Parts: sequence; structure tokens; C-alpha cells
Amino acid sequence: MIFNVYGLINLINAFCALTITSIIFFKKGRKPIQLTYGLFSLLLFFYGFFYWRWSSETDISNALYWFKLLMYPTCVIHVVYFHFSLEICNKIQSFKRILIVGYILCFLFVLLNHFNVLYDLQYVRSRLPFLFWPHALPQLGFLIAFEVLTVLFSFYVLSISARESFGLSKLRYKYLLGAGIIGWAGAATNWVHFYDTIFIPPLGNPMISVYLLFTFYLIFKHDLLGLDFAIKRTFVYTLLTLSISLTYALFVTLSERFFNAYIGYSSFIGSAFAALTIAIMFVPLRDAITTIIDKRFFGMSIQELSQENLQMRQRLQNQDRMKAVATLAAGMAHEIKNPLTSIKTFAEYLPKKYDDPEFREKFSRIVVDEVDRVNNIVKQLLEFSKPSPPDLKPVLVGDLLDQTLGLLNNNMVRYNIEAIKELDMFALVQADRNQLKQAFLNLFLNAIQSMRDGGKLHVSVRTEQGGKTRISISDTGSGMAPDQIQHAFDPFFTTKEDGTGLGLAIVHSIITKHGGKIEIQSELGKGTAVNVFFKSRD
Amino acid sequence: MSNHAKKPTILICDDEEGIRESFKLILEDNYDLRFATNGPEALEMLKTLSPALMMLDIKMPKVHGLEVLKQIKQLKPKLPVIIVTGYQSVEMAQEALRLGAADYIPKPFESISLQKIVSSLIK
Repeated sequence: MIFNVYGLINLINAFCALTITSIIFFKKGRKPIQLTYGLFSLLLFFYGFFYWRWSSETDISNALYWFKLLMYPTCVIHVVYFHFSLEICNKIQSFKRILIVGYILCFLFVLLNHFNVLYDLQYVRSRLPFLFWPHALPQLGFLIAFEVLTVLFSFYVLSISARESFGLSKLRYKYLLGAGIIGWAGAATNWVHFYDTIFIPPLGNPMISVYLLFTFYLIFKHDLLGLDFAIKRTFVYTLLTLSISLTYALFVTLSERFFNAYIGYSSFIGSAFAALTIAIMFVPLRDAITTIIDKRFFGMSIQELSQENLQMRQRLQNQDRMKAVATLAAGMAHEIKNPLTSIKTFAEYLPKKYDDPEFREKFSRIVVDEVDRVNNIVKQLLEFSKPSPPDLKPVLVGDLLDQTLGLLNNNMVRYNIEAIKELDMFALVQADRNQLKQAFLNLFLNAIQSMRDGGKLHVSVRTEQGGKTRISISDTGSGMAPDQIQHAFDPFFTTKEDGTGLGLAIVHSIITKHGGKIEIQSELGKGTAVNVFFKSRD
Repeated sequence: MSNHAKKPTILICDDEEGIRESFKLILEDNYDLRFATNGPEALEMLKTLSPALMMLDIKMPKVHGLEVLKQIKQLKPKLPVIIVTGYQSVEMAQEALRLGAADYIPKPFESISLQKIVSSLIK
């Protein structure tokens, strides 16, 4: 084996990627976003590891064996990166077909690699410090073009999301885009060596390390993958152990060489000496590395960082809240000023047109309706902004859903909607029965209103692992576009012609006041699924 | 009958009955009023109708008022359009005027000022 600095950089990248992968895959209750990122890191690990093995080989057949293995993750990783970008931008539904096509193409390139038709095995030359770098076959050009297109498209998706969002999310997308550009630009420098062009060293490889550091920073500081604090801490200390192990390995190798070359002792004594030195130095070394990681990398200790993280979140949440208040005010303006206009005009014309029976009929109908409308808006707004504290009692949630759905039986028949129920009648949650009933009623009404031409309403209650109760209400109605999903819980945001836009905002407020979680999945023209999670009551 | 025919036509586009009825109370004595409840309906009516003026709401179902304004200006560039809305934002007013709106009236409006604006634009 020979020493190749680019190989070593890739080996370090591989270990960092493996750390990220293991942490994500050992986490319970993984989300698709974490899984795709975990898969991406796993491929990055294989890429780095095989790169190191190939670049350190002195035997051509061994080198080409590792090179072939290296090309497998190369064929796939960019599409997994695209998949991850779609997951994090919540745009998977909009680009599902493109993603499937991407994976199919990946598979084709994997096959091409398997049958050795991507690069020329008869034309392997050295591109120092690399001893064996095969020349490209024309097919490789397609893989390069495919990778460039996929990565550029991922950047496009990330930049759109950055533009559409604000506060914390905007920051995340911006960082992720910046890190992605650095990492992929770095990786791209490797493609040049497949062609007989002027030699440019693959200096981009350290940029992959920068990408990993960036992502690591994002995961830690900006909660990129929603990992909790304990996991992040494990993360830091795994890296710490890795650094110590690498230092240890380096020290053992150097001391072995020293003892063999200059003193003539056997390898065993050298290793024993190194182990003893490391054992004595371990605590100060660990402390030194902890300080370096905490102070230099994060600029403060883990406790301080956690505190700053919390404060920054609060600041950004305040910004988000101000934006919500602005939306609320704009919505209020429209919802209240319209009825006020009618009431004002009718009142103004009352003395002049009092004797006109048609006017009196319209007056009593329109003015009363408009006053009711204003009253209703104010009531809902109060409910949204200051819901009464929930009166928590054990509630059989399956039974409550069944009863609430029963109230809407007439609407179900009228719009030809079939209800499919999968209710765990023993699922028990701690909740305010009336508030929960209101939340379910709003969700059912939304579902029914989206299926004016009939459809299926699927209601389920399941008790999941980890003591969670999952309530799912899905319809086959009109669905929502991705940008509408983002604003679905905003007050006064509505896609309905006659909606006030407060229904889902109230549902969200009720569920979160109960310590629960609510999420929406929807696709335009296909339907919407609302999932509500509560902690089960034992 | 002949008097009625001489009245200038105003096309009013608003999704709310209360608002449409308010316009009727304020303007029907002097103008021939036609109503549309959303943007596409108004655009359809404009293919056969040549009103002297149009009143357009901003927040409407199906198509946003400013988008409707853009399309109206392509169809009938000379038709004066008054934007009537509950949103009183400077940006919205500027955008409406940039797109070619003749005026911008916030809700709730005064019947006298509405009549004055309408008559000044129709002259």
C-alpha cells in the first residue's frame, strides 16, 4: 500500500459519514428525512472507503477491484441526495415521478458498471499520486451529465424552498444549499481524470470534508434532522473517540517505525510503549480535544450551545409569530370589513328606502347575516388565540371519533362519501373531550368539503410503539398543492370558497395544547391525510 | 325605457352578496349595473359587454383580483377599473395602480365618495 493524501482525506470522510449513518440508523422512530440522509451518508462512507483502498493499492488488479466498488456508490449517491433534498423541502409528491425515473437510471448505470462498460479497463494510466486511473468510455459522459443534472435540480429545489420560507427554515435551506454546492463542486473535480486533459489534482476531495463539517454543524446547531440533544452529544463524543483513535493509530505507526529503524527493537515493544503513553495521556488528550471541539468548533461549551440554540429558536419563533400576526391582521381586515361595508351601506340607506318592502327584506336578511358573520369570526378568533385550558380526562378516542363522525352522517350520505373505519376502541388518551371533538369535527368537515363529488373517508386509530396513539383521517378529495400545505395551519389561510381559514388553525391550537402533534400529507387531485399523534394513557 | 338605455354600464365583480347589494343601493339610480361573482365570470362577460367602468374585489375565489386585473387590461386596455378591497396595504395599492387600475377604494366605503369617484371616471 502507498500513502496518498487524497485517499487519506477520503478515509476520514468515510469515518465521519459512518458516524452520521450509525447515529441515524440506531435512532428509534426514524423519519423518511432521516432515513434518506442516513442512506446518503452510508453511500458517502462506501465512497470514501473504496476511494481510499483504490488510491492506496500498488497492484493493478486489486486497484481496479476497489475502483469498480467505488463506482457503485458513485452511480447512486446523487439521486439519493436529490431524494433527501425533496424530503427536506417537503416536495416529494411534486417530483415523485422524476425521482422514480432517477432511481431507474441509477440502476441502469449500476448495471453498466457491473459489466465494466463505463470506463476502459485496457486503458489504465497513472495520474500521480494515483497509480491506476482508467480512461472513460463514452457511456461515462452520460453518467456525468446525469449527475450534474440531478445535483443542479436538487439545488433548484433547495433554493425554491429557501425563497418560499422564512425564519429558521430559510436559514436551514440556505446553509444546506451552500454546503451542497461546496461538496458537489469538490466531488466533481474527480471526473476530470477520466479524460486525457491537463492534470488538475482532485483538490475537491477536502471540500467533501467541508460539506460533512457543514452538515454536522447544521444537524447540531440548526436541528437539521430533528435529532434530540442526547443523540447530538453522542455524536460529538463519537467524533471525539474517533479523533483519539486516529491519533493513537498514528502514534503507534510512527513509534513502531522509530523503534525499528533507529533502535532495532521489535514491533511489540514499540506498540506497548505507544499504548502506555496513550494511556497516560488519554485524560488530558480527551480534555484537550473536548475543549477544541467545544470552544473552537462551536465557540462555546455544549451547555452554553444548547442555551444559545434555545434562545435562537425563540428569536426566530418570534419572527415567525410576527409574520403570523401580519397574516392574521390581513385576514381579519377582509373578513370583517366586507360585512361592515354592507351593514354601513344598508344603515345609511335605511331612512331613504324604509318604505320599500324589497329593501326591508334584504336589510333584515343581509344585515343580520353579516352581523352573525362578524360575531362568528370574533368567536373563532378568541378560540384560536386563547383556547380555554383543556380539562384533561381519560378519553376513549376511537369511540369519540365514531360519535363525531355519526354527527355528520347526513353530509356523508348527501355527498356520497363512504366511511372506512379502523378504530382501536381501547386506545386511551388524556384529553379534553369537548375540545378534541371540535378538532375532529373540523377535520371531518374539511375532508367532506373536499369530496363534493363523492369519495372515501378513512378514519383510523392505532396504538404505536413508544406509547403513542396515532389518529389518521384521510380523504380522496381535491387535496392541496405543496405551497398550500405549508400554510395550512396559518389563520385565515383557506382554499375553500366559503371558508374563514380558522378551522385548521383551531385544530392545530387544540392538538398542541394537548401536547400532541399534527401533520398533513396531501397531493393535489388525490386527497389529504391528517395524522394526529398523542401520548397514550396507560 | 330610453332613459334606462342611456345609463352608463358598470360591471361589478365581487363574490359577496352584501357588497353587491351595497353597490346596487349606491349606484343603481344612475347606472346600469351588471354583476359577476368571480374573475373568470367577469372576463367571460367582458367578451360581449363594453362597460364604462368596472369595480373589482381583490380577495375572491378561483382567481386573485390582481391576476384578473392583468387579464382585463390585456382584453380591454382602456377600461377604467376601480379596485375595492378590505386590505389597506400601500404595497397592494401600488401594485394595483402599476397594473393599470384607475383608482383604489378601501372598504368600508362612503357612498358619497364612491359616487364621486365613479362619476369622475365615467365623465
